[in-house]
Amino acid sequence: MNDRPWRILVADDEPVTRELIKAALEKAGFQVFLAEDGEDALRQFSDVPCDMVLLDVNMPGLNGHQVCAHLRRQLGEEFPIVMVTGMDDIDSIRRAYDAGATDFIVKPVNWPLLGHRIRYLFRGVQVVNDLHAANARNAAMLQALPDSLLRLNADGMVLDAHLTTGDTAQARRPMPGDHISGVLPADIAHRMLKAAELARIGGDGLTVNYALSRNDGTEHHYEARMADINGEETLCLVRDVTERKNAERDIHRLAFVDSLTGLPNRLSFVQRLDREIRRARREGDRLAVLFLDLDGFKNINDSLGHGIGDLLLQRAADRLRQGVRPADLVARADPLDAESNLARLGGDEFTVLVPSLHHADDALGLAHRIHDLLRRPFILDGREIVITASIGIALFPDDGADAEALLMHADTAMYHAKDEGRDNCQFYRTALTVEAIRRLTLESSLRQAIERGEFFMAYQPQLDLASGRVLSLEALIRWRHPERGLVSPMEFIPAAEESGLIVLIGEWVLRAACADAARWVAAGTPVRVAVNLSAVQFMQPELVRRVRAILAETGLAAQWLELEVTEGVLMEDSATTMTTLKDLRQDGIQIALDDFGTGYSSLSYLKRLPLNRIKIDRSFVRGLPADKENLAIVRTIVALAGNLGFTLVAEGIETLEQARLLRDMECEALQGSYISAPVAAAAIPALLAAYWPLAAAA
Amino acid sequence: MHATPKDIRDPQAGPAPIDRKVLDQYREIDPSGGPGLAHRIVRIYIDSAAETLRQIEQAIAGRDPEALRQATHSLKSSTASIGAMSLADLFRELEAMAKAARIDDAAVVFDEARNEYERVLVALRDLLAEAP
Repeated sequence: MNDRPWRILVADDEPVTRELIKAALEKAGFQVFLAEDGEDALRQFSDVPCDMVLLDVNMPGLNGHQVCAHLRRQLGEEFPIVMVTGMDDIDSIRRAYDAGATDFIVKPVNWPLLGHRIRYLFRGVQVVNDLHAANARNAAMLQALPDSLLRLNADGMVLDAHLTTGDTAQARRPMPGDHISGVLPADIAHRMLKAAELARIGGDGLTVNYALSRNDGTEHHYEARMADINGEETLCLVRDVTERKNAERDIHRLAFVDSLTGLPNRLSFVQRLDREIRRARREGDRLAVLFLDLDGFKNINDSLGHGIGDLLLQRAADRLRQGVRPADLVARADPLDAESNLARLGGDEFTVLVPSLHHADDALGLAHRIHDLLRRPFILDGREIVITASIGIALFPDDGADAEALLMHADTAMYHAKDEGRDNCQFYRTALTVEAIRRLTLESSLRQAIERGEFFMAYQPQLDLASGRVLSLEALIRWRHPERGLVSPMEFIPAAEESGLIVLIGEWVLRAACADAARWVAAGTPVRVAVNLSAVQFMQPELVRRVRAILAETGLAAQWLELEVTEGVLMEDSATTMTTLKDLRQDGIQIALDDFGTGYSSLSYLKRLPLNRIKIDRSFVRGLPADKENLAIVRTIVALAGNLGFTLVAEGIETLEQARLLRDMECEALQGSYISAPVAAAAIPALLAAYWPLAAAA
Repeated sequence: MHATPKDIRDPQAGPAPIDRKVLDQYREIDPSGGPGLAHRIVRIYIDSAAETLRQIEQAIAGRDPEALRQATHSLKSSTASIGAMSLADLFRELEAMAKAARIDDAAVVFDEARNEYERVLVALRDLLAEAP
């Protein structure tokens, strides 16, 4: 339309005026078409559409108003129709507007101004047309945009809202007049307003990401972008980016998750291992990497097909998930976290990360559990398949300082396991394998020992110097292993303590000793039994309750029970320690402090403890009386015990000289091979009947 | 009501029948800025006015107020456009009478208008005779 001059159709029955209008408009650069009456005007317009029509009101036939109304209906609201009418004819002007005229020109016409007047009219028309076009473009754009659009004022009130259809995420669809905090959760609204404020002052960070639950329960992610309009208002475009987020998640899955088993892949595992190594280094922790390879998997794949092979890998992965489940292993980890310790490296190779390893055996224990889990037959496609695994273990920091080294060494250890006949587990360091297996074996043997009754009691008498009789016995556990014979407590007690079996074993000892003592009391030869309590036992919250139950069960009066605790146990200066001791004393149970002098108890602390007795450790008695240093220590302990009001028992008495020396120091009782080695319960009655002349020998 | 004799003007007397300033303004919208448009307008007027005048005469004779109104309205406008202000005033008067259906009064005014028209025609022909 801009290439050619504007076309104007002029309709006037009066030739002079018609000619003048034509001249004036042509002078102004318009192209003019002339019609002599209304019918002529309509005819010409349908032949050559014009950009504007000028109509004289008074025409024979169809008058100007009628032509105007007709064209208006035909051309829509925006087409410019100008009526030419007498200055005095107000009624005609009013009717012109009723007929839909855009404007009017009065006669007598100011001819030199007419062209300018029409140009102005065109400019107005053009502005309106441009506005309509712009509005249409905007509307189309909004329609095409996947965004919802809100115009906000400086306070965060919605001025207008264009919402994508079907978006029911918001509890309420925002309407003009709503405040943004009324339609979005408070924290999101707060971030939006913050971003809007930043946008108004020309700042960055104008994107707000948030998630909302839809009415159907699904979570949708949104990205809101802010743009300043005029320093007062903000345009806020909200896009549903759920699909993008999902795609990102899928991409992440593809990059970090093994698609067959759903386990983390090698990349993911190495990253996690790196993180755990950094943490372990910081915290001085150990960790283990298990490298697992299914034995004979290639045969299964080759003979039964990849379908079965893939199925087997999936089922094996499920068993591995069971294996690392936190209830079994690390109570503090949640299941997802535990699964992230697993990975499928590729093929039939899997890895397991054990963060925060307490003992190397823990890794072996996990390997054994995995072995047990895998050993159960798989039923695949109606076929029973048995598969085993070879597992290699590498430890941080022992076997490698980084993920690459650990993985490589665990792999090496795995090949070692293959060499050892498959279906077994090897540490990267062979010695560790041997040691760990020994301890694990010991543990399982200990477990069985309780069930099979392989433990029995021995007692070592304590000679009461005042009476020359045995008035108390230290209860000692003995283990007769069916193959190894007698196993030293020095060997199995530490293993029992580390595995936690000590609680079960300790309870067995307590029960056996109380039962024996009750028998001796009933036989008229009452004697006190001293039972050792380990630190683990002492920390059991139900200790006091368990002791009372066993006393009741065996029918032993509390006065015949003494509990020996080491200094180390009591070092924990806690209210619990004190309460436990006081409760036991309250019941009439005696408390002895074992191995006194080997720990670092403060005297003021010792003084507050409700103890009956202190036992001088055998290491101080050894070499007496010649060892002057030990002699001095023993004298100090004796003086100390006297001052604190504790009685004394000396352990490790091997000679008459030692016995006499400690008797002279006013020790209450003596224990040691000079008096009697530990003996079986059957030998006790005879010892109780005996009289040691040592007391009188002074 | 009849016009008094003193209202009947001698075509040779009275004020100038044409206001030349009206025609002069057409120079501004003349393509070349000259009197060409004014002369063309005058010729169109001379060509068309006679016919319209006859229509007025017939309308009065036929006592047709609407035909009278239509014709006087049209002629009033073009007459003013060539600067014949007195004549245009007469046609305005006639138009008003047509609207009021005062055909007898119109007949009297029409006689006056015809006289004035003659004066205007003379003046217009003089004007055209001037060098273009």
